[in-house]
Amino acid sequence: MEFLQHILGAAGADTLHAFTVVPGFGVYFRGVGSVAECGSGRIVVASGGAGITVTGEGLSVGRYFQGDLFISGRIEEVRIE
Amino acid sequence: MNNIARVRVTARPEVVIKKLSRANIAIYGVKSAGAYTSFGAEDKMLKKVFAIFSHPCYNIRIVKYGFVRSLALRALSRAGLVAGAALFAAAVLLSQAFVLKISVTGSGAHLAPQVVAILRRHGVEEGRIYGGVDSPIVVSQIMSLPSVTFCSISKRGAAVVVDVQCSRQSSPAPDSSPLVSPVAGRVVAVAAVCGTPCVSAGDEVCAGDKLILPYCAQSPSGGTVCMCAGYVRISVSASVTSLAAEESSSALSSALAAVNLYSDEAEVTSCTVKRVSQGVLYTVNFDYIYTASINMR
Repeated sequence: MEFLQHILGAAGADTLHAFTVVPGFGVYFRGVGSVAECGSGRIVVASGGAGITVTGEGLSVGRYFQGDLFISGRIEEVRIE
Repeated sequence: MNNIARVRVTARPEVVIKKLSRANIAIYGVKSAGAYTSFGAEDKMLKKVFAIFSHPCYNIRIVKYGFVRSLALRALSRAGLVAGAALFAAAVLLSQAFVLKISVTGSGAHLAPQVVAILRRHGVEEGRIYGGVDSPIVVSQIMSLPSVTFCSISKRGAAVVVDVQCSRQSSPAPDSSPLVSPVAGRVVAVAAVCGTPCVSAGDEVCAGDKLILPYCAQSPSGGTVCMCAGYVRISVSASVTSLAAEESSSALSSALAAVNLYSDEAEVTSCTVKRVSQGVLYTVNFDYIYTASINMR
């Protein structure tokens, strides 16, 4: 985690808006402002001034509390717009 | 996660997430099905969730309560069953404290009435609270019953089990008759292992009087029949006469020696000499302790 923090710091970013994808399991976001769209095939979240679109199968919001969001399902694509 | 309730509301998932995240309510497992969105929220947050979706345009209901609350609700809906189970458990626990049965086992099972009587005397009785038993004393009293060679007392659940073993050698059958005094005198001591004493120390008894009766006092109205076991010491006053040709110290010694036929510890109280046609007649008055016993080894 310190290594990630170091790289992000060097790039002028932070871990607050980083996300982790676990293939076949789900994706975990931090610093999520809101969920703009929520469907079983597509979920759009707003994080750090950007819209992140998650597409896949059987998607659902597993947990959402104080900016931490876990989307479960089979993730096919995470696109930052 | 055990206290997560499942809620269903007629709203889009985005709206649900937005409204609940604003209120800092953690939501779990958001699923959308048609016009409904179902999600999980902590039981303690349900009031807040309902307040947020209190507007009539939202149709909100709880699909499933959390584990603890649903358990409580199930228990409440089956209050009779739960109360019955609790009552049963309490009855089982309570019955352990009572003596519901006294069981005498082993080759000495035929001595059950005597054993039960001894136990009763020490406060162990069917239908009463078991307050423990002074085992050495009770065991020694049971061991003093005829031909008993082994005894052990244990409590199993609500039953007191007394294992009594008798010697295999054939012994005379226990005497079931009362203890009768063969002499007249004053009672000095009474020890009734089994049975009911009908005299006490200081009482005057005549020959043929009953000393210990073959029943165990249960209540003033009646008792249970059992074997007598015990002894009674009686102070007896008696006299012996001895005829001699003439008065002499040897004749007196002979008269006093006759006292020892009754008891080695006899106490001579008086001695008189009377002249008769055949010579002299010594009359020695004495007291001795006679022990009348029954079914004692």
